[in-house]
Amino acid sequence: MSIEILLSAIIDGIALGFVLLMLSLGFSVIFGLMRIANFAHGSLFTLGAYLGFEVASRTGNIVYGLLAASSIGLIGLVIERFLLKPKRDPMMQVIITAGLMMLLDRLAWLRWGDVPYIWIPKGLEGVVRYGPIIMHSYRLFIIVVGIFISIVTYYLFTKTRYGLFVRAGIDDREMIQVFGVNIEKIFTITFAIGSILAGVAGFLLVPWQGVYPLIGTNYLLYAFAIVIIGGMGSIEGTIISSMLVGIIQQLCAYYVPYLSEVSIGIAMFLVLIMKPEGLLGKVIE
Amino acid sequence: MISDLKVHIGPLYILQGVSFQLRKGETFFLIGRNGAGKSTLLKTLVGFIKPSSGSIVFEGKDITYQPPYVRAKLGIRYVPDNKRLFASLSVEDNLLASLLAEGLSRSKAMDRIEYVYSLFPDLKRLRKLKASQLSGGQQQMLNLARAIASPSLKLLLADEPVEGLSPIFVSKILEAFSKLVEEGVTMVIVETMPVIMKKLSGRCAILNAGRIVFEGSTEDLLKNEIIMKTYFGLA
Repeated sequence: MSIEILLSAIIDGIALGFVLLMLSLGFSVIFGLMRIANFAHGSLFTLGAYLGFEVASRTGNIVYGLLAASSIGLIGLVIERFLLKPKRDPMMQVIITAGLMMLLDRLAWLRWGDVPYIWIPKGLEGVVRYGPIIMHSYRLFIIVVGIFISIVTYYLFTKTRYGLFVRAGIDDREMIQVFGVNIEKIFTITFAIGSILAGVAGFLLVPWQGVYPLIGTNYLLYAFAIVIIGGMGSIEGTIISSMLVGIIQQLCAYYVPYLSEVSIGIAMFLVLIMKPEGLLGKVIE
Repeated sequence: MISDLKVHIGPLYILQGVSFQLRKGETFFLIGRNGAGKSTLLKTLVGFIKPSSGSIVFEGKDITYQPPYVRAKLGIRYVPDNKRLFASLSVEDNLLASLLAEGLSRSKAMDRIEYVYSLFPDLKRLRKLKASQLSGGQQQMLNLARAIASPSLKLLLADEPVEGLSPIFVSKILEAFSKLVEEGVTMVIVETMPVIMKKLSGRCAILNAGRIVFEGSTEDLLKNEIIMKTYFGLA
């Protein structure tokens, strides 16, 4: 086991961790605030990947791709406003989001087929060498973008008026209304922000792992694991567990590839046994 | 004004036609045994529960089916019995959230928080702690502080605000209520112990099985031995 390979695996793990963080943060906050396990979240990730791919590959500009992927927020807004808002029944919302997952994945399959698409932005195809360590340029780019988006998102949720209402609402969404917050508006904004993050995360993964119709649904399993490990609705817990899952997954991919999928399940299992509410979660009564 | 308010939850009729009128600036106590409908009445007034029929009119506006956030903008605040603080937020963020929610600027909110700290100096000392880390009495202080921090407070609905508290916390909360009386805030207080009634005079009503069976002044009630024995276990 060389230290160079270990460091490369960790850097790749951090890059994957940031993608997972963007996917999971929205999922976690939506769950914490709205008590919805949004099964369609992975499909929004897929749609973001395809939309970003279509625009970026045509224009050759990754920024346009990121903007196109961000437009998934509008789809999220429509889903929340017109499908989820009219019926705030938990079982109904599971059925609606699970139905959307199947519908959106099927539509993606009809439009793009089974073939994975990949597009690598110019200038980010190669590797960067730092002494004996070899790092993929694009994965370093993911880390830079991930850090930027994470800081903005963290600021939004921890330093702004909106973020304070979201965190208060996660603790008690009924009581925050007693002070004058229209919680329905907060639900819609949060769902849209979560969808933007999912779409951007999906697109960021295209140059690394490509895009295919079920990629989002596959990654949704990681999001479930991350939310359970970090604690449902905990922003800090999601950050920590995303990085943990990303690094564990990549270390396994480098050293014991046959365990890379199972490893996350084992981590989740251990957390559930030792701390059922997650690393930084709280017991929901 | 509350007129013929009826509430049913599933097959249970909790409130069966409750009517009373609040006068501006008065303190109105709700008394009754467990299950009489006191908390349900407060939750209906704050907007958590939709009534089956009847009406709630506040300052000339019919708010019977208005959501809680609309009522909050009219100056109605609620102090729940089980505290329901924002547990993961600090003491100061609990206060800040309640003030920013009504649209105050951050600087005005901080001014109001200083005012609240002058009423409850302990909270200033504890301001960086998470609400979940406070003792029961401290949590109840914060629960009340969060509601009375509002500069637009007109009607305070408090559900058993001193239940289970030690005498030192009871006296602190009573001081805060006395100040609200001086400021002319209308209050509806669910009371299971006569301690606040003795300190703050006002009117009261006894709820029994979802109906008001007695309405009068607190002085009359405190003198009535049968009521004191029946509802408070005191002769």
